[in-house]
Order: sequence, then structure tokens, then C-alpha cells
Amino acid sequence: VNGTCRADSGSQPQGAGLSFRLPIHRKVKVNLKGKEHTLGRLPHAFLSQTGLAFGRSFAPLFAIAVIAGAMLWGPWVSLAITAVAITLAMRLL
Amino acid sequence: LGELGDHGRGDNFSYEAVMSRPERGPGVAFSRWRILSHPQDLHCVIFHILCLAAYACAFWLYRHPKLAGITGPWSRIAFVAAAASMLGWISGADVGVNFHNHSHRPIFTSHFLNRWFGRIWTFSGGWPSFFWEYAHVTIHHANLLTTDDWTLPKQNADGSFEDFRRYMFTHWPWRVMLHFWRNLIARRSLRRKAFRELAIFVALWSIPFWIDPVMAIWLWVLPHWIANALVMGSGMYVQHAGCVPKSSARPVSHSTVFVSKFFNLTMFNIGFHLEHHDHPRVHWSELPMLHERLKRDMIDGGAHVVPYGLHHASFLLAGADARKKRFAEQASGYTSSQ
Repeated sequence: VNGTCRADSGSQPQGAGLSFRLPIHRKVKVNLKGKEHTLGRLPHAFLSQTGLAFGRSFAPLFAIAVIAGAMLWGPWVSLAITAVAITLAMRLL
Repeated sequence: LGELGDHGRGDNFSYEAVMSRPERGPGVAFSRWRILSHPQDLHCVIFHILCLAAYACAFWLYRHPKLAGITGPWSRIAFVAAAASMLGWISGADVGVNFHNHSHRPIFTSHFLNRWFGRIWTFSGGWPSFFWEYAHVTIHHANLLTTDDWTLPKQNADGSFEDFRRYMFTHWPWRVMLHFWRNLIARRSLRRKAFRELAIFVALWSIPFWIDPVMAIWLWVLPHWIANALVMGSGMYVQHAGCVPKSSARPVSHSTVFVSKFFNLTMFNIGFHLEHHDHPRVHWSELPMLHERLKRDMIDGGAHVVPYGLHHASFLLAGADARKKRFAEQASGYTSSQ
């Protein structure tokens, strides 16, 4: 939690059988400002949206990789990747 | 007629499910400044821009062969085969799935943007947008599986579809052109609009020919044939193969449902085809939710549900009888006994 914690000096210790008090054993009040929940969910929402964007753009991104990849590995490897991709799509998708 | 998203009221009319409502409250004041009708439609725009980028990349490498390792005729053939196959595949999805969504629910709030983005959307798939939208919404959706639905394969006397390969190799562009001549060009009320849209399409579609006519044949015309004959043709075939027109006795047997998660993630949920035909105005991103809502009715009604996507279904239906029988099998969790 990203809120600030304040020890309540008048509260009872939480641990049973403890003979001494540490600030951590005291009941705390959490001052939440309303942003904490959003901050916690932001990475998840961002990753989820990014994953969706990439997933939905998978086909053209893959096509660009295969076509532009010919500059790295030549046209024959691009053709081989295409053949494997089509075979896998026909078998699995 | 011919307006994006105008579904009229055909024989296949059914009440639309309301999956999401327009925003209300203070935020609505900003809605007039919103460009996209639905936030998820940004992915449709990204998909199309990436498709155009793929074409540009292929054209550029074709014109700079040394960069792509093209050293002679055989390596050029290898490059063209790989690039044309990839471009055909993505163009088939870009028009048959992506623009398809736009034809039911325009993605922009502006009519001008809808019309012009539509025009630059379908030209890279070998279609004038108005023609594709007319064929899909006015013909296919309004007359599903009847004799008036010329977008689907011809039916044999027993109601089964014609041969898979025959449909793919004869439908686009041959049968399509003939039907458009009868439906649009020869009809006075639509002729002017049809010619205008055709002229805009020809102007856009001819661009690669100005750059290099030979390149245009291999990296423009060939991908468009792959997109239409192989990708969209097979898709249309498998979505309704073995199905019967909608009736009160068999309300959920007009389309097959394809529930592969990866397929639906990468293909804008087109697998939920039964739901889409019954509720064409439901946004594509909300189809999985609608599927869950209608699941019980589909199981009770005996809907055909398969665990894979359109590509594997095409592989099964293009094969011998043993392979075709596998297509008839039902996905687990969708049989009425479970």
C-alpha cells in the first residue's frame, strides 16, 4: 500500500503473549488518498492492454517480421518460415 | 442502403443484445470530441496501418533486391512467394474481419472519417469499400443461407455446399463481378454511387502499377487473390458449411462457432460467428461476453461449436471424407449431455 501509516499509541498490542511493544505491534491507521488502488492496478491494466494490442496485431506484425527479416536471413529462410507458419495455422488454428 | 452499419430488417431479424451503453454523466460532454466510437477500435486502426506498412516494406525490398538477398530469379521467386503469402493472409483478415467489423459498427464518430478510412481500408484487399459492405450486409446478413445469398457457396439439391475448391476458385472475382453487375451497375438507383466508388477504388488500387507494373502483379494482385479466394473464401465456406437457415425450430444452426482463444484474440473474435449473425450490432470486443451469456441456449439448441479456428476448419473441409467428419465433431463442454 502506498499510503502513509501512523501508529496509534493508545491501542493494544496485536501479538498474544508479547511482553514488550514495538511500533509494528500497534494498531495502525492507514491514510489512503484514493490513488493507491489505481497505482496498484496500473501495471496490470497497462500490461493487459499492451498484450491485447500486440495479440490483435499479431498477424501483420508477423508478416512484417517475415518480409523485413529477408534483409537479415535472406528470402529462402523467409519462405521456409512462411511455409511452417501456414502449416501450423492449418493444423492448430 | 449501402450506408455503413445500416442493417435494415431482413428475414434474419432478431432482437439485439445490449452489451454496453453509451456513457452518461459528466464525461459525456467530451464524447463529441472523441474520434473513435469505441476505445477498442484503436486496434482495428493499428491493424490496418500495419498491413499497409507490410505492403510498403515488401515493395521497397522488391525495388532494392540486394538488401533482401535477392540475387537472381530463384531468390526473387522465394521472396515473392513468402511476401505474397503473408500479405494475402493479412489482407484477408484486414478486409474479411477487420473492415467487416467497421461495416457493422463504424469505428469513427465522424461520417467523413468512416467513409474515407473505409475506402483506404479495403483497396489494399482488392475491394471498393461500398461494394464489400453491400455484399456483406445487404446480401449476406439479410439473406443468410437463402437462394438470394450469393456470397455463400452454391447449394446442392440436398442443401449441402458445393465443393470447397470449386467455390474458392470460381467465386472471387468471377461470380462476384457478375453479381455486382446485376445488383449495382445495372440498377439505376445505385449505379451512380457504384461508379463513383469504383472510380475512387481504381485510382487507389492502381498506385502500385504506377511504381512498377511487374511488382504490382506479384506483390499486389497475387496477395489480393490469396486474400479473397483462399483466406476470405475459405472463411465464408467454413462459417456456414453444414448449416441451415434460421427458423423457430432450429434457431442456432445457421452458423458454426469457433472458440479457439488464440484465433479469436488475433482475429477480432470472428469465431463467435453465430452470436455475430444474431446480434450484428454488438461490438466485436464484446462477443466473448455475449457468447458466455448465450452459451446455455446454444448448447440446448444444438449449435455447432468447434474448439479451433477458421484455418483448421478449412484444412478439414478441404480434405477427404474422414477429415470432413472431424469438422462435424462438437467441442467439449458444448454437448447437451454435459
